[in-house]
Amino acid sequence: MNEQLFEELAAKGQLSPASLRKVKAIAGNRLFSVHWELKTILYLGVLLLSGGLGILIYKNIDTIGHQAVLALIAALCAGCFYYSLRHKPPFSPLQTTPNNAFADYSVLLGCLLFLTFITYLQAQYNVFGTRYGSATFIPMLVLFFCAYYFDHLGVLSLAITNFAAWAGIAITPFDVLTGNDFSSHTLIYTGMLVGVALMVAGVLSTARNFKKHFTFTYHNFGAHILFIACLAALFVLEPYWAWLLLLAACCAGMYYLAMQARSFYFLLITVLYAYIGICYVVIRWLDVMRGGESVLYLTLIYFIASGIAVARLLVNLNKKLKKHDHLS
Amino acid sequence: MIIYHKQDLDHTLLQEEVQAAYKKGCVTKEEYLQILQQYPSRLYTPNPFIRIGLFVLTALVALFSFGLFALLFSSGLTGEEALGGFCLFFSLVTYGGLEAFVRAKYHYRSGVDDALAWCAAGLALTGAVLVSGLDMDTVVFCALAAALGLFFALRFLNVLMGLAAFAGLIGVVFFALVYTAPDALPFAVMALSLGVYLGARRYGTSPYYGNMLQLLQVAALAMLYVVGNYFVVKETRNELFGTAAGAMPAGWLFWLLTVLMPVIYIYLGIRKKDKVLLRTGLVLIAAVVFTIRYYYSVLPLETAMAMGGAAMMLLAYALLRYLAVPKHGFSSEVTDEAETLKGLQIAESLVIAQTFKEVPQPGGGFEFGGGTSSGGGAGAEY
Repeated sequence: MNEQLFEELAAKGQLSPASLRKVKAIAGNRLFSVHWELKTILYLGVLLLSGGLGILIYKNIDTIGHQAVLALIAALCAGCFYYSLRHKPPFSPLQTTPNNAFADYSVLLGCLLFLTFITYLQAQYNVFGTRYGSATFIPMLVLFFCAYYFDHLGVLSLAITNFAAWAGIAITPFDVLTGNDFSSHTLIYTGMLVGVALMVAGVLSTARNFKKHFTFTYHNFGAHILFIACLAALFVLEPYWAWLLLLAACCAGMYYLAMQARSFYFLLITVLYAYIGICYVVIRWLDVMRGGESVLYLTLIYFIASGIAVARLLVNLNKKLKKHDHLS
Repeated sequence: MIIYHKQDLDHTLLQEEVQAAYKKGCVTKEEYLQILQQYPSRLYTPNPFIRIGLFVLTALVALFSFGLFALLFSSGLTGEEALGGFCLFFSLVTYGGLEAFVRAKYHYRSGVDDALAWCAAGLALTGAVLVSGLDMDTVVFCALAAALGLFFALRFLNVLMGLAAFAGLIGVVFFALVYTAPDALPFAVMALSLGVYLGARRYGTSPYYGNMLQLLQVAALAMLYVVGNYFVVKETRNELFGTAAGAMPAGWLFWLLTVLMPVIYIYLGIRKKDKVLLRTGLVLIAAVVFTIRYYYSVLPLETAMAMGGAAMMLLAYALLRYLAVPKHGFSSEVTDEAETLKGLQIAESLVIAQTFKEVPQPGGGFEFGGGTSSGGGAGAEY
């Protein structure tokens, strides 16, 4: 904070001496925090270690050395969980603050090593069989348990992606569009159900006040997969207007949730997904007329007009949300 | 030069400062609201997410308007010159729109101004290339890009345009020297980057250009390292001259630069408590590892990964223990306010989900979990 600026305010009598003292106390705290730098090093350490061990196992799976590697992984995994358990704050349905950053990443490393271990057991001995996707189901349960027990957002995200993988779709941010084949009807329905399940989980988290801070993560994954599945249905399945209605319903629901949570982010994605759906329907309808050049003009004018309209809508929504947000 | 009124900018900065103080609990609500009233700003700056939306939509409108006008004049748009002229004309139209929006509606970092600035600059460049008959000298092209970037950066305080100007400047030096004096090229770019870095650092506290100059510092430091990196220099030479390049002169010097520069950055970052230097140095350690491994693979990749990972975790553990009580002015405590912290934690969880996506795959045919039971999966948690 700019101390000089606050001093000027105080000199003009716009800031009480008590407030100025508080500002000075914080601005005068010249401690240099390297919290995020250390966390990044920890993250990279976990990334490299778990990745390296995973490849080690994969490459040595047919040699004698693999049992030693496996024992090492099991020991490390147990060590990680032991350390985290010793340093974890008592369980609470509210958000807990971890005692130290290392314990936080030790949970993550433990979970990842556990996944590697399970993968190995499954590949080598087929422990869980091939029925009902149990090979992904059991790790998913463990991940969800760890996420809640250790209050870990990162593990929760892993659990959610695992849940989707178990259902048969990819929902990690960069794979949701490329990793799925949305011309498959099953996949579209699966996506919708996964999306709805995640949305419900988020709503329940808030309503029951049980790990309320997990809501955003549930809704973030849920909203995107739900909207994308709805749009895919609109593009692929017939009759399209039925899916348009579903998309509209989803948008209305999301709009309500976004306003409740005062989230500009959800508001933005709701508006953009709705706009994509509307544009598709309009283009489709214009195409029906098959009018050559005049249709081209109409299309261009439509995009210009609708773009301006949606921009104005965003400006208005921003104003509306800001008013709500005004320092309650 | 700046299109915005100074008073508006000053008040916006002041409001931001007081808001930060309010969120940290230093300023009371009454004081905050009163200061907001006494220092009003006409500038329109929406929430960052809304800014993204407005950027996309404005770019869309500009694109389709371009298409519409191109279609209207399509009979006259034959040949590159005519098309280039049209681009230049439309660039002026877009620029006029930008000026109008800022003057009448006071858009400042609203997404609309960003999109219009990029469209105007992009169209101007495209138009210039087309008018020259697709035969523009690369140096001239880069100089033009630098000039456009500088103009938008100075007049509209557009942060990314500042980076574009820097990139253009580097381009000018690169293409001017690459064939005439390839051996001097790395040093010329290094000198330029160092100059830009020192300049940006010197004026880093400027109220209006602070953000831009900070970003420029990062870019300049990164560029300073990249052009001294052994891998970059060697591979660029091979790419340009093939086998005619011969042995690289002063290879040892570039190895020295490759390894030492990040260490120097980190050392200076710690000494001067400079976040930009420290973070850039940390990121560049990865570049050092990559460069060395590319030419000398000491260990198999997976062993190196596992050992490196373990070493990094131990290092972080030791530092966390060491800084448990703040020492030498350093601490490992979180200092972000609640809202920023929440955002950072969410970003962290998304990075984790994206990078650790190894999911145990069942062997053989993959079975869908099925719809109804998938709903039960999440429900079972409650």
